[in-house]
Amino acid sequence: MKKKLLIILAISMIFTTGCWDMIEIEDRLLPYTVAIDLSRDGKDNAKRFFICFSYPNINALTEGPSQEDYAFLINANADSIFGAVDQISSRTYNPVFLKHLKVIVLSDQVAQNEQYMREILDGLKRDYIINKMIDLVITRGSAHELLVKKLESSRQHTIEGLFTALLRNKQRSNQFTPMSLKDFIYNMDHKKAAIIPLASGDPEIEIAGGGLFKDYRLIGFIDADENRNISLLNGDANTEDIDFEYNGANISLSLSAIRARKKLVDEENLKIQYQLSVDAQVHQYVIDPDKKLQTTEVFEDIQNKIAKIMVDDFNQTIERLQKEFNADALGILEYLYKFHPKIYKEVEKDWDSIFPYIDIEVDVDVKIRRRGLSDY
Amino acid sequence: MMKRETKISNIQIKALIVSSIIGVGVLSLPNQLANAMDKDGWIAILLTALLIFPIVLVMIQIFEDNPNKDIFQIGNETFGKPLFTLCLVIYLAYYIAISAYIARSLGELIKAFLLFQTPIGLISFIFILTVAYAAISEIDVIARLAYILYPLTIGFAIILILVALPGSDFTNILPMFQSDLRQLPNGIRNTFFSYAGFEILLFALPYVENKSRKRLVKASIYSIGIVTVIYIALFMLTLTQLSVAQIKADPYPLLMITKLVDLPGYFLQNLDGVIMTIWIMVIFSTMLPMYYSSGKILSKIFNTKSHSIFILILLPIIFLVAFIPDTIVELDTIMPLIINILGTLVLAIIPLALFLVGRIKRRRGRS
Repeated sequence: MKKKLLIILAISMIFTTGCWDMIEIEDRLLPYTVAIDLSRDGKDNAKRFFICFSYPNINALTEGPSQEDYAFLINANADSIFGAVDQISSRTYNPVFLKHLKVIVLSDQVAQNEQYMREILDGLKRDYIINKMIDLVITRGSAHELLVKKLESSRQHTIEGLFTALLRNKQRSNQFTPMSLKDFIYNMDHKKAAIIPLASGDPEIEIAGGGLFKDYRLIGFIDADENRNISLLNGDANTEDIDFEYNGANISLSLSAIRARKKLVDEENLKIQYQLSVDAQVHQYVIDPDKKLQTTEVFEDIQNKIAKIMVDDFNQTIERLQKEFNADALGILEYLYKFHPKIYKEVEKDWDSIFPYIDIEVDVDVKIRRRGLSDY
Repeated sequence: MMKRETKISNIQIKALIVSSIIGVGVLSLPNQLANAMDKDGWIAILLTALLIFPIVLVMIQIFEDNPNKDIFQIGNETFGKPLFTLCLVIYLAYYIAISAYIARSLGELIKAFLLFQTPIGLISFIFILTVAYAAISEIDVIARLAYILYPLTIGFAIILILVALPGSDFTNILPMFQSDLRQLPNGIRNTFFSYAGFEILLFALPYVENKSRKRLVKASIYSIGIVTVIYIALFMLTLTQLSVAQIKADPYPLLMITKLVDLPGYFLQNLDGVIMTIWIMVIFSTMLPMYYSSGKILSKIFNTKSHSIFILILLPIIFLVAFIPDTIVELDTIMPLIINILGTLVLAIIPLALFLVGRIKRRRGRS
């Protein structure tokens, strides 16, 4: 028996001599950003997309300052990302490996085409290798130029790439809301609308505002303020700063502990009520003996003022979403689906003709908790 | 050949049941459930578990009625040799089909996720070879091995849940109780085979150390309960992460979830490699009892003392059957169909018949 085993073991060595898949990590090309533009080739049989990968120069990421470029760009005309990988492989000596792809930048022209969007996102989702938490970013104009700009940026020195660093930034800016591939598809399934952060490269790389998508098609842009309002209403925002004039001086407040709740208050007329509760802290007011924040009346007055400013702002944004875009980025359809399934079944089919006319009311409840270290 | 006494302890039988049941189907279970019953798939799991209990009780009762005999003696006495041999052949076909399905699915997934260049035949072959090596042993060794791998089976679920929790949205479980209850039989039909594997009791029960009925029933209820909890937890986890439309569209929703893991600080992403590695061991412990049982069945049919020679004979057969379907679509439609038909016989009808015929014969004998 032991001899038999020995023979089997000896024979098994034949199978264990090589590895088909061994590639050292420095022999791989690991793109972290891919930009997709419409192809500028005018030929008839031209490829549809101009695709550009940006990948880190692993040699330059060693310790200490380096003279080398931190990242390289490589581009190709192709019909899909995978076609582009194939094209590129004839120009590089290392195989392209998409596992660490972090950001996909789409130009507005690509994003306006529903078919292209559905195809690109399907490819990303279908692939076994690509991470499904890949962040989506759109840009006005050329996505390729944005990547070129990124190379020149002095803030490029992050290993994971500038876009990822910006999108995941710890300050949790409300100027944009990161949108991963998974969330985007989820939103398309349940809200039929989503917002992808908008990047611009003039004068330097900045992400603010977003592109509004409906049924996988870019239908318009919203600015940073509107994005902030939507993320406040969706409960995605944690902190927010607000400045306004109060009693002849600028008052600066920081809002925190923001909680938003949706409620269907009138089932027949579909009236939705938002309740926002916010804690505030005074950052700055004015050195003036006559203007002190000491009485409850002053506090209440300020609270009411903030609430009014915010409600007006929200109403403008909601109006724009309802009347101009007719896109339910607030997720009211999703809310009905989860909490009022019966109503959902009635309205789901005609949601496009119902959403612009539903009544949305916002209630803001601000509590000023702290007024700072001194109240001079 | 067998000098030592083969004995299985009570805790080993629990481990054996759990690791036999949780196997290749767990990755695609949420998909099947969502297709049948949308967000209410967990009802189907629960009801199936309740359906499985009586069958398990019947299996225990069969051995209670015929003390100190193994399934082959009982079968021959109850059905007569020719009929029982036919039953054994059905069992054999079922085990070969399911082993082949496991080996092929494993090869396909490993190739897709981890080893892009390695030929799929080699991956499957090496896996079958490894299982064959373990299947040569007797049932007590297999039970001990199951006991070692048991924490991994549970750990597989726990790790998956832990890493995915930060990204979950629990309101996604809503709305509940919205699906059409007429779909329930369809859902149960789908989940029934996720519980396939507990029939290892037929081969293992005669060797259990402490045969008191109470303890056996307790052990089986406990193990099927654990499986049910794991299944429901994983289904709920999938719901918190993906939309129903996505779950219906992804053939392996749990693998999709491993790709969605994104813990702060970048250091935990793309966990598919880790999870796949654990999963290989999980399905190893699923295929092992089946492979062992098919070897045992052949040795009984041909009346040999040891079953190890049949393990070697089965190796190429399983390998060839695994590569009959050409594409993954064929694999996922034809193989489950065959397994479903054979499985209904193997899991429910034959044990029930064995029990009923045995009872009727005994009553006649008495009168």
